[in-house]
This record gives sequence, C-alpha cells and structure tokens, in this order.
Amino acid sequence: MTSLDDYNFELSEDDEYYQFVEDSDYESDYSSGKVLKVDESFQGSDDLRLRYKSLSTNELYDDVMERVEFVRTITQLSTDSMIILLRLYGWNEEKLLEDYTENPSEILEKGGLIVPEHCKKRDLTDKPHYTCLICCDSYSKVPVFRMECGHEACINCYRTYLTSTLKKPKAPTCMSCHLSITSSDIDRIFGNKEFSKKHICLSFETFINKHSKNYKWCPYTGCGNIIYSNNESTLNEMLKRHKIPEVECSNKHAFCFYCSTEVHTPSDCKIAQYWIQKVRDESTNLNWILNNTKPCPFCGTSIEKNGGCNHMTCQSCHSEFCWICDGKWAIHTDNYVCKFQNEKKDNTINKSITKRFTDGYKMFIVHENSSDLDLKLAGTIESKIFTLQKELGISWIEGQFLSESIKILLHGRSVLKWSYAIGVFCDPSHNLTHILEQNQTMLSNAVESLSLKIQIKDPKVLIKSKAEFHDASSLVNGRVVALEKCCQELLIKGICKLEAI
Amino acid sequence: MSRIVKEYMGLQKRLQTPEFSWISFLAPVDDDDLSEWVCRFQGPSESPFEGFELGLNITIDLEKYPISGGPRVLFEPRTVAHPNVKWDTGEICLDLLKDAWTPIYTLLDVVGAIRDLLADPGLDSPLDLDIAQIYDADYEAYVQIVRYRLEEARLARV
Repeated sequence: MTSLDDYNFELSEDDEYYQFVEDSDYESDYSSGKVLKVDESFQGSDDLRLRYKSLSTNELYDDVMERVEFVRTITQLSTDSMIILLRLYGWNEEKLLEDYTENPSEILEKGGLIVPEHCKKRDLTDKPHYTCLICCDSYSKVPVFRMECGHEACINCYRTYLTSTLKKPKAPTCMSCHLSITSSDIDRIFGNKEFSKKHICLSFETFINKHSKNYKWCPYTGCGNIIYSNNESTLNEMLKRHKIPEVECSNKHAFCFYCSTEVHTPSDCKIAQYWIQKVRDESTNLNWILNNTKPCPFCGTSIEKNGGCNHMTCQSCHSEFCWICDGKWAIHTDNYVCKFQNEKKDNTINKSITKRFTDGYKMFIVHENSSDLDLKLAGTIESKIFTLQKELGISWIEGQFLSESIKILLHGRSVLKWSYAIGVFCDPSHNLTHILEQNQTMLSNAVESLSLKIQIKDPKVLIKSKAEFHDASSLVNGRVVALEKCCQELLIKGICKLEAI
Repeated sequence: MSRIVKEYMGLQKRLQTPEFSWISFLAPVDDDDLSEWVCRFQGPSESPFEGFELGLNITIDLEKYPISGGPRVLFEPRTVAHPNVKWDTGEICLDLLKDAWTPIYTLLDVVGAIRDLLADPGLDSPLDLDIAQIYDADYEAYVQIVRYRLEEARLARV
C-alpha cells in the first residue's frame, strides 16, 4: 500500500524516456518552437495554471509531420523513410536517432528500406491479360503494383491488403518480403492522400503512449481529441499543492490531465487514483449498493430511483421514505438531508476502517448514481426550455437559467462525491474532519434542494420559481467553495492521509 | 473467393507429388462450402510424432482470405501434447497463423509450417507451460507423453 511519504508524482512508466528528453537539446529546441503556441487556459483558483492546447487527430498529424521533418534534418533521409522508421520505433525519436547513428544500415534493413540494387524501380502500370498471383483473378487489363524485389499484385489486392494492415503499428511491407511500402506508394495505389494519412493517424496510439507525459487522449468515449501540454513544472507544482490539473478538450469534455479520469475536485490525484483502485477491488463485495433498486421499507415493493432526490415515495403503499437511511421521510425535517446517516457516524467514532470505507463508498455511489440521473435530466432541459418558449412566450435567453442550474448541480454533485473519498482517509478524531462532514451535509442539502427544483415539470411553476433557482444555485456554488477549501486544508495539513486506511 | 477455388483446383494434383506425400488428406468437408476443411497428415520423421497420423480442422473466412487474414487452424482437440498447442482446444500458436501471415502463403504452406512446428517447438512462447517445462527438463518423458496421448487418441478413434 502506498503511503504519503512516497508522494511524488513522477510517472513511473516512461521515466527513462522523460529523463532523456530533459537532457536532449533538440527536444527542448523543438518544444520552444512554433508548435508551442499554447492557449493561455486558466486553471485552478490561485496563481497556478496549466498551459495546454486541445488538438484533433488532424492537428496532431500536422504536429507530428513537423516533428518528422525535424528528425529528418538530422538523418538526411526522405520523409517517407523517416515515417517508416519512426513507426518501427513506436515514435521514440531518441532511441531511433541513437541506434541510427550507431549503425545506419542495420536500421534501414530493419525498416525494410534497403532496396535491391540494379532493379527496376517500383511502379504502378497497367498490364494487359494479367493473372494476379494473390487473388488468382484474370484481368484483361489492370493496374499492377510492382516493388523493386519483383513481387507484384493487382491494385485491388493491394488496396484490400493495405486496408487490412491499417491497424498495425508498423508500416506495411511487400506481401512477400520485408521491403516497406511508403506513404507515397500508398497515395499512388489509392489515388489520393487521405489513405496514407489515415495509416499514420492510426499509429498515433503508440505515439501518444510514448509521449504520455505531454499528450493525453480525451478519456470520453468516442471523443478522440488530444490534449497537449509541455508545462511539466507547473503540473508538478500543482500536484504538490494538491491541485487538480483540469483540462478541457475542444468538445468541452473536462478531465484531469494527470489521471486521465473525470475531474475529481476536491480529491487530489493520489487519493483519487487510490480511491478508484480501491473501489475497483472492493466493488465486488459492495455490489449490492450499486443496485439501483431497493425494496420499499414499508411494503417491500421494489423501487427504482428515477430522480436525483433522496425523498422517495412508494407508488404502491404511498409511504414516503429516505433513500439513504430507509427511515420515514417525515422525520427528515431539515431540508431534505438525511441526518440519520450522520448520527450513526457520530455514535461510532472508533469505526473500523472497512466500515468507514463502506460508508464513504456508499455515499460516493449514491451521489454518482444521482448525478447520472441528473445527467439524464439535463438531457430533457432543452425540451423544457422549448416548452417555456412555446407555452409562455419566454425567450430562449431567459430560459437559460435552467441549463445554468443543471451545470451547477452536476458540478456540486461531483465535488460532493469526491469529498467522500477524502473523508474516508481523514483522521476521524480531528476537528477539521468534523468540519468537513458538516460542509458535506450543507452541500448535500443545497444540492438536493436544487435537484428537486429542477424536477419540476409544470412550466408555469418553473418560471415562477426562477428566483428560487437562482438562490439555490448560488447556495450550491457557495457551499462548493467552502467544501473545496476545507478539503484543501485537510490535504495540506496532512490530516487526510492514505495510511489512515 | 476466387483464390481459394484456384487453390482447391490445383490441390489434388499437387498432393500426388512426392513433395507432399506425407499429407494423406486435405479437402473441404463439403464441396459446396470452401470455408471448412479437414486435413490428415503423417507426423514428421525423427520426432515423437513419427508414425502417427494427425488431424487438423481448418476454417477459412472467405471474405478475408487471403489478403486480410489467413486460415484458422486447430488440431483435433485432446490429441496433441506439444508446447505450442493448447491441449483442450487444439489451438496452435504459430506466427504464420497470426501476425506473420501474408497473402503469399497457401493452405499447403500452412500445413507444412505446422508439421515443422511439431518437430521443432518454439519454446519462447509456449501455450502449454507444463509440456514446455517437461520438454526442457526431461526430453524422454516428453516423448513418452506425446506418444501415450497419440496412442490413446488412436484407440479412441477405432
């Protein structure tokens, strides 16, 4: 298990590579070059901000091509050969240059770039009455691609072949020997430049893995954007100060640059990663919590939670109860917060570690599920605004308070959720831990009441309570700031420690 | 599609030649469906497999063969004890069947490569760790196991 003592943020993988980069002159030359027109994206509260830019695959292609050109000036090879060698080396330029200077011919041989001498150059020509050796089809006339090695096949076979080699990290080779097929060959065979580009773009997976210190895929499913940042000193400083290097790709997906996970404010990266791991390990035991249905505590009917709030009403026996403690709702007088969960906590100060984890995990999951449901609710917001426009003649701009509120709600839930991860690792006897719990209760309070408002269906009631929306939203915002501050303090003062568990 | 038809047409003639006399049978299960094949061949000489006949089940994806992918080849399950063969399924670990496949190879090349593998196992990437270890530590014992298993399978067939 990790302790806070080895709380350093060096990436363990790629360490070697990272060292190398720091020493190598050309890398820094390159880094300070024109590629680094980085947006001044502000981040975090204090003076610290991570400079980064969001790239699409196409933009990354341009960047990589510039990189290729740069390495090319050192080796004096053609661009095509350079791409092949870099793909062979999984885009590890340093290793390639090192090996290349040592033994150029060996590397060229490995890359399938040594062309047999005194041979007919590779060409793509129309041949009459041709039977292709690969597909065994006979053509009256067909373009045939032939390499220096003498191996040839009809253009159809080559097209299918090149399509099927698309996903391999290495550049494609002749079907019968190791001679490499270059990007320009691919362009000739397909008659356009799109395909060779696709070939190269698909090998970026390895490129980004190799340069994972500076490049990160957007972790959102199907997004495919890439974040580039070479602002390592700031990154390390932020991590040291328990700040989260939050970045946002051009599709507005926010994530933590260090962990490549959702934004986990106010937990720092160390705790978030440990938490995620722990949850993964333990979730099999705690799976029942994940279950979205619960029997009604009064009549036993299975109930699915389909709204964000914890106030449940059984459709079968009409009894009202609290989702968190299963108690009667009537005793929950304090603005939709479940005090009884907290009371239980107070009674057992010397709770076992597992119990603390289980409780924290339960709350984490409750808010995660609620936030999923809120997210679904958010999907209906646009149509709600549309109804407002249609039925009450409210302008679109005026209806925007709904979208704003849902954004604030989701943010509040996320902060609340991750604060439970911190809570688990805090010294339970410390006063600040109690303050944290109070802050959690207050935020939870605020979030639940906002969530309840957003669920209002009647457009007239909605527009009437606009002011209330505003109040509830700013309350959530205020609570979020307070909770974040509290967590920050817990982390900095070392009250929240991983060895606590 | 056309390629496998051509291979099939030329196959019987090639099987008559001395070069392939060790293959006793290689044909599709059903003449109308060239995706399922069966092969029987003699174990390579000077190997524990000498004197035994081995069976292969070959599946060909007619959409992909030969350009985007080679055939899928399995030994008859629970017959071949070999470091690169999974005992229960007959799965074969051979680069030619995986990454090293190129359209230039034919079914005969594949069967030949599998026969070579029997005589000369690749110990750096074993599928069956136990057999690989026995092969390494006590070759005689390995030979005995292989022959015992083959004999068992032969008796079961009769």
